[in-house]
Amino acid sequence: MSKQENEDFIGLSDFMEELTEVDYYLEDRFGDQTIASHIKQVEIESPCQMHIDVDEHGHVSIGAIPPMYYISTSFMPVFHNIKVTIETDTK
Amino acid sequence: MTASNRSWNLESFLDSLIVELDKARETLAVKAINKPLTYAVKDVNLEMQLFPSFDGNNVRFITAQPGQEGASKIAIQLGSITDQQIRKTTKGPTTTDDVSIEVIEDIDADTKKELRKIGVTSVNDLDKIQKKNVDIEKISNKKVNYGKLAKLLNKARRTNNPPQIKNVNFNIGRSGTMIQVEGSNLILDKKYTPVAVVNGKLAQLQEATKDHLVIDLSKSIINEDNNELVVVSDPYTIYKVKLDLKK
Repeated sequence: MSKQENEDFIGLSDFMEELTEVDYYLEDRFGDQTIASHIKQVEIESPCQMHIDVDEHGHVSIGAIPPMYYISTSFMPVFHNIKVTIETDTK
Repeated sequence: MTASNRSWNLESFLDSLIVELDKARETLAVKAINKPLTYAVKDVNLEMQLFPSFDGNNVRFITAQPGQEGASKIAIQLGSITDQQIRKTTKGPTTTDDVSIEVIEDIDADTKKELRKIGVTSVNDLDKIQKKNVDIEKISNKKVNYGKLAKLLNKARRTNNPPQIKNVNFNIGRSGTMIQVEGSNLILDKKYTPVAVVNGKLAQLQEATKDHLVIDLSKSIINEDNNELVVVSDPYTIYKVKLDLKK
């Protein structure tokens, strides 16, 4: 897998790993007791910008980032859409 | 050297997408060793704005650029399946006694492509289709001729499995004279009747299997030394053995 040529983009796997950074407990206190909850499942749907590189052998490498700007411009970037479902790893 | 925004075919893109997803899953699996609470990617749904093009043989895609309108939308959904499900829905790898059509140079690229389309990737696949009397010429729009192809495939299979002789016994007795040959891959294709010739005279093959041959012959044609046995087991295989009765 070739490295992303365009520095603005990160590999799709890195992008997905970033989305799974939800491994913390939500704590709440009731008097002496603390109740902890954790997220069981998250569904993330986001527009994203993609950069697809093709090398001389036809191998493809996929780069992705969330939209860089939310400002309306005369030439709007192309927004693709990514939806990732992550859930607690029960293994 | 990579070039941005070049067109790509769907197979290469999916390969890369699966590698990326696997990479993310592997990282999370490593993280799970140290952290009790970790997450796994269950599914990924990617919707992209693309322009497809067709060059007469292949469909290729190019991502839409800023300002371009009228792009097609392609949605790819990757879910998780278990290794058991993979085994159920995927063909096993080509076995050692089989030959993959990809490695046969005599078959042209178009024929290989047509065969792949109908799920034929090896010689055994083609045999299965033939047994079910499928009209392969009709399915492939007359691009694949079964007879011609079967010859090429059988030839390739024979090249991969050459005959090997381990032992030859002369059996000279009152009831008759015979030569017994033991080995492997002696006869592979049952469609052909093998022929045996001893010292230039046609001999009768009483038994002919993959690892055993029994040849009946008249005692008078055997010499003391310099006997020659020739076996034609199929159109691509002839083997010749020099036999000497002297010890």
